[in-house]
Amino acid sequence: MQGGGAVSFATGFVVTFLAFLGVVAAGLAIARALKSRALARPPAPIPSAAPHPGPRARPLPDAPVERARAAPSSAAGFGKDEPMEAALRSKIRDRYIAARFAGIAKCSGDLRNFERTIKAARLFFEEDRGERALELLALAIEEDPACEPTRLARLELAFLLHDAALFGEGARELRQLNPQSPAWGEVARLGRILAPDVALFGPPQGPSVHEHYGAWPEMPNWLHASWDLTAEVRATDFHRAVMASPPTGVVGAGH
Amino acid sequence: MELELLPSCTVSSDELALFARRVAVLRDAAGVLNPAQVAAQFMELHLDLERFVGELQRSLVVSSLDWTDEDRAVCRWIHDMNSRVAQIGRSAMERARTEDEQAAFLLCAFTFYYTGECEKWDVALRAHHAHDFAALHALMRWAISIGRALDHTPLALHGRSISCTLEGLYFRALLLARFSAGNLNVKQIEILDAWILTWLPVVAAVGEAPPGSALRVDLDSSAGLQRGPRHGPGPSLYLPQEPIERAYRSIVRAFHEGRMLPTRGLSSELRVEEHVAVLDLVRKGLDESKEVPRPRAARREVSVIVEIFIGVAEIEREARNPSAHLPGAMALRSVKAITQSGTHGRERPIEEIYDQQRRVAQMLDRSERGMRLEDLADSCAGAVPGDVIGVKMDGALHLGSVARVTPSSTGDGLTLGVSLFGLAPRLVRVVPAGGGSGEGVVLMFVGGDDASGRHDGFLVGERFFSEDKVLDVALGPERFSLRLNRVRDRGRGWILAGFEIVESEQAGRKPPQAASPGGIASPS
Repeated sequence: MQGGGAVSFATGFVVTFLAFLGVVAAGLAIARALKSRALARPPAPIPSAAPHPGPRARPLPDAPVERARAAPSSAAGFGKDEPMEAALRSKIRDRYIAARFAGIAKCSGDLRNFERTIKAARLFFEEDRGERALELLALAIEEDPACEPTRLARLELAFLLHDAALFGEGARELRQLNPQSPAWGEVARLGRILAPDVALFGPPQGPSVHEHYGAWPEMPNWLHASWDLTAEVRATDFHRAVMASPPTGVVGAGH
Repeated sequence: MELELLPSCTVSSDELALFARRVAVLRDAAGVLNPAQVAAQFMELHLDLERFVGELQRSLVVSSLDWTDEDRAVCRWIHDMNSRVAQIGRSAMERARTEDEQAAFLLCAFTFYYTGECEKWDVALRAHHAHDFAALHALMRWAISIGRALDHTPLALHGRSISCTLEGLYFRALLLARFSAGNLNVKQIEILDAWILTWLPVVAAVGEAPPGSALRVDLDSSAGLQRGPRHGPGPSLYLPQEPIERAYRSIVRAFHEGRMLPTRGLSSELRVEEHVAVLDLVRKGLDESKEVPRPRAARREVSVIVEIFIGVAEIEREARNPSAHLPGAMALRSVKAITQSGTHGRERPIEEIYDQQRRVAQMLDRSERGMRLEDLADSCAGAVPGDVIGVKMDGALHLGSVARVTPSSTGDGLTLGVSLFGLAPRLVRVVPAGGGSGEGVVLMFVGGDDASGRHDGFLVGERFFSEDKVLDVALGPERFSLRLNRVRDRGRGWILAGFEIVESEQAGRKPPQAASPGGIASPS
């Protein structure tokens, strides 16, 4: 029994020793890996001879985007973080859209509602904010490249803003996307007026005076302008009704 | 003693004192050492200062909490350090220019850089003073005279290495001075600065005025940036619009791709909404620079006492329950008595217990679209650019937004620049379409200048606007359904929303039928 106890003690000792060696080896491997990762990092861009420890920073209660930003990115060499990087980008884009186009979209996905987007772009254009209208439509096209109404709205806007380069680029993209588009005839007609030298639109057919904005018979109205003055009449009625009320106190009631 | 900066870091006053001593040592050494040695010591101090101040700045700027007195003390310290370092750089450069051109070049770059930093911290301290850029222009003329204004040199700025030119750093200082005049907050000026530093390599001024009204600096003056071509002879530099337009587009493009530019640094930690506000400002500047220069709107001096209301809640309360008229002229002692008399007796329960301080200001001048007010009795201390403000004058309430906040001429109050919205507001009760319980909500209607209704809007809180509901309102025999559909203007917590009338009806009259395909109504 004593011999068996010695054997089992020796076996236990060997097992423990091997386990210890394993732990040490694993520790060394982890340390090596950490060291090589640290060495792989680019050096700090700015040398500093600061003799001071500097103010002691504590983590701030950051907003979600900032928290996401603080997470390790794929640039740090972690391949599995690419989805996280994509999620961060998507979040920044959504926050940008919500702030830039408040009341129109709360995130990129909202821009897929093309009727609402085109209407908002038209309102920007009517308020002399053509650049903002074009940006909104560009975002909507990025979100849903196959949506032809949004592309056509941008073409009409480019035509009305006399931006021949943008019109040409948009027309080429539309042609590539949908060569059989029933709207192509109209696009080419507007293209010939705006950029008569561009072969894509066919031979020039003389100058045109038909460059009106809105629901004119000679315009395609891809911006969905109102066909009559109902909205204008309603707006004037509302203005008159409110301004006719006493200047102090609350006016109006629900229906 | 340790100063606790909310909520992110602490700094010992010994550390601040140590840096102040190092700056003093450099100032003394600048008069003794040769220019190359001074430049080397300057560089060493710059690297340490950048790192140290960078951490302080981060804790101050990123925090969304109001600053404490300790935070403000640190701000003043940073401003003071920057100012002293700029001063040392300028005097050391004056010595170096005849002895060592390379050292002078470096010292000139640092002088421009630290002058810009001072301008930026003016925003934090709300310090507003008359600028004299004659010394800065003299340095720029020297850089041009030796043909090195566009030489690139890498400098460690804001935690990154940036290829700088003297011209770029010079225009950075001037641009920051222009935008630190009270219309940007601390976060926004930091974002603008990060963009300017990114644009430095593409900024190249021209001697001939571009079309429109580009920003201009007259090198033989003491003035900062102005708009439009120079009238009369003299050396001037203009900032052409096209490179800035390209830079603007690259930032917008980056946001579309879900990136913030620059990708690192303090500005990348700030909220996207702050970036968007600065983008709007840059866009406005670019649009102005393309227009033909226009004379400033005529202002007429007035000197009347007015009561002011800051924020949607205060304005709405005043519109519902107007306070007693103030006399147009009164002594400061009377003004103080009024501000301390409070608003006791108003309808909010809290005012039954605590008096809310009345805000009284003196109107200094006004134009068709704006007015300038001087805060009296320190009753507008919390006002910042972007606040919505109501100004009660001659019994009528005028609405606008605070466009600029600067210290008053006496130094113990604020001067507010106000951009007016339109007609006096009316309170309109609306209820959500389809019934809804209760009495609905009261919105503030802001009429446009003309009777067409095209420029009308409602002043609402951000949360209400985001609900995106159809609202019903009955005005006498007329019934309207409307939807807030766009942002006309916005600021801290408020939106001036444009709207569309989606349906209207008058008792005994057939409602008009929109002929629009898809039933999309146009806006009012």
